Amino acid sequence: MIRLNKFLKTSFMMIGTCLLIFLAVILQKENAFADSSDKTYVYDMAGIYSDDEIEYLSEECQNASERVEIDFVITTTADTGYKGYVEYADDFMDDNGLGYEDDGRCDQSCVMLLLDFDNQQVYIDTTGFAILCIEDDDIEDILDDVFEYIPERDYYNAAFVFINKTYDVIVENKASYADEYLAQWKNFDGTYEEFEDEYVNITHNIFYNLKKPYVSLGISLLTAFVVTLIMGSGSKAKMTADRRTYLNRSNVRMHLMTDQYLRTTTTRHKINTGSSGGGHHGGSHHSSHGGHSHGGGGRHM
Amino acid sequence: MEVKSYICPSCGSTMQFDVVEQKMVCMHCGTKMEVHEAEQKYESVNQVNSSAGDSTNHNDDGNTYNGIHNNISNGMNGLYDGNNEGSYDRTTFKVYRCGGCGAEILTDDYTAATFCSFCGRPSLMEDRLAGALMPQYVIPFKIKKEDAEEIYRKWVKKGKFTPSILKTQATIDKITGMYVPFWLYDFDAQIYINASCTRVKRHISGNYEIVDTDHFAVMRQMEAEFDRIPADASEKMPDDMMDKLEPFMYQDMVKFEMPYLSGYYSERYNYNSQEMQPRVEKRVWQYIDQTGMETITAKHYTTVNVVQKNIQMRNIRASYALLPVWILNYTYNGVTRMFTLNGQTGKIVADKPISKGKAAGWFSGITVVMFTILMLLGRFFGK
Ligand SMILES: [Zn+2]
Ligand SMILES: [Zn+2]
Repeated sequence: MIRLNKFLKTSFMMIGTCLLIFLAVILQKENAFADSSDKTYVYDMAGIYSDDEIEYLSEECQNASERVEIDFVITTTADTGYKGYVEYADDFMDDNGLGYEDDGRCDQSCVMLLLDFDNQQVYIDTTGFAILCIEDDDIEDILDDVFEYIPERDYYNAAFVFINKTYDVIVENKASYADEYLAQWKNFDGTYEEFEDEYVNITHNIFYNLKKPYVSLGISLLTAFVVTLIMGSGSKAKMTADRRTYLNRSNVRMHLMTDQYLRTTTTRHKINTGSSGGGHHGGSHHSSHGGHSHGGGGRHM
Repeated sequence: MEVKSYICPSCGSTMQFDVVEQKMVCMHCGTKMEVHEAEQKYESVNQVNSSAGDSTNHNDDGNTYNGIHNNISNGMNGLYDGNNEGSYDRTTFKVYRCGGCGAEILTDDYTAATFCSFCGRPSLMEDRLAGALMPQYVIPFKIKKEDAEEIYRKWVKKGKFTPSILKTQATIDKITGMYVPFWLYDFDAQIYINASCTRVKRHISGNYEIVDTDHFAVMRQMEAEFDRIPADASEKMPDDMMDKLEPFMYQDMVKFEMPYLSGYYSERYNYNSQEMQPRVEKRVWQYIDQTGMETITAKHYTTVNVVQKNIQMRNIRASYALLPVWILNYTYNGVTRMFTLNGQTGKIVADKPISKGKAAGWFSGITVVMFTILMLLGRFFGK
């Protein structure tokens, strides 16, 4: 009995310790969340959202931001101070220092939806790594989804669908190509344009891939195989006599030879003038007054 | 029974068919004689010989020549050959003796021309070349032995993986000239084709590509004759190799006369013309098919869809001919292989064994060198 008691005691103590450690970890995590939740994700200068809506949207933005390490921001305005919507969006992002990274680098990563009631425009602005993750076609796709709600003035669902669609796009593009550049981006301080020039849109010469041993080895093995095969079988005799060798030319009789035209059928196809990217990734972009790189695209309300 | 040899009238040595002269030449004193002349000179002698030796032998040249012809065109040659085979079988126990040294000449059942293994004298088994077994045509050798050996040497040199054993003089010495029995078939073939074809034209109008498809009903009925398609009638010769030795140039083909065989090996056919016919029919089927389809593809249709095709063929005749082949048998890794050379045109058909060691050496050598070069290129020029 005593023995069993002792055993139980130690067990309880161990479980208790584990629970404590677990709690500590959870609390730590909570703290971490608390820290980043200082950020503002929704700037509703036009005052179109209720407090509840702002809270929900902020939560959505935050969740998406944490996962893809690119900040999601919703901004509304009714007065751009005579600025165009692109200029306004760029400046707003630059001035407020929007972006996921907090290491004081030049271009941080952020995607922002701007509902500009002054210019009657819906605009998506990207900066930093978001330019790479969201290409021009993607912007159009996102805007298509957002505009399901714009004509009905359902701005809450417009913002909501923006976050979800953009999140999906980023996850997909990261998996297909953008993650290759993630490590370089994390250690990079400069504008996205500089980053792109240095890492993304590099045209490698034909020798570049030879640096990889398996490529060189593959080519070598293949060449050796083909050469050996040719060397080994080069002198194999082939059948050179054919029907012409034995055809008695003076004795060919064509009894019937008709090629009767029946009808013509016509089909038409639209010509697909899709431009191929040629292996380059990322959206098109420009420089803002603040010297940062921005990409994006908009549509009239 | 004594075998037939052509004895030089000046010195008593044997005469052989000489490739360069295209005449009979005495190996000893160089006396020359036309093939026809030799044939006539020795004909009477062997008439006596054979009628004495074998009473069942039909040796009237004119008759047997026509005999083969008629029977083949009647499609009855199988029966005819069968009869002959029977009478022939009774003679297989016959012992052939060399006319020079009297030794027994070793032959198998089909050997028609060989050499005495003791004194080397060219010897013909006359009864296997006469009567129903008499070839109608022969293409005499045009490539002489020295040239055949030279061609072989070059062929061996060309292959990087050729085992060294093939290069030895002992191997080269084994090259022999052989008149191989062939059946030459004349076929009449007919084809009927019914096909639906289209011709597609594309052009661009504004943002649209417009595709016009013209549909045609196409019909062909044609008849063609294919002459003297060869099929070797020897069991020892691999069919595929003999096929590849083609084409033989028939303008050099002459009426068969025995002296051409003096100095070469030869054998009588193992298979009669009916037995070999299915092999040739396959080729005729292909030939007429290609000939017919070509008249459609010549019209440049975009698609051809054959709805109905009907092929018929008829064997007009089969002729028995001896065609010249240089042969070299050798053994490598326990497998007997064959080098053959068209004795008229010089075309080589041979399976060249590959020395696995040599091939592996080359393969790894190339791999290592290539890999080094590529890695260096990548290292210094890759950007
Ligand atoms: Zn002589
Ligand atoms: Zn002898």
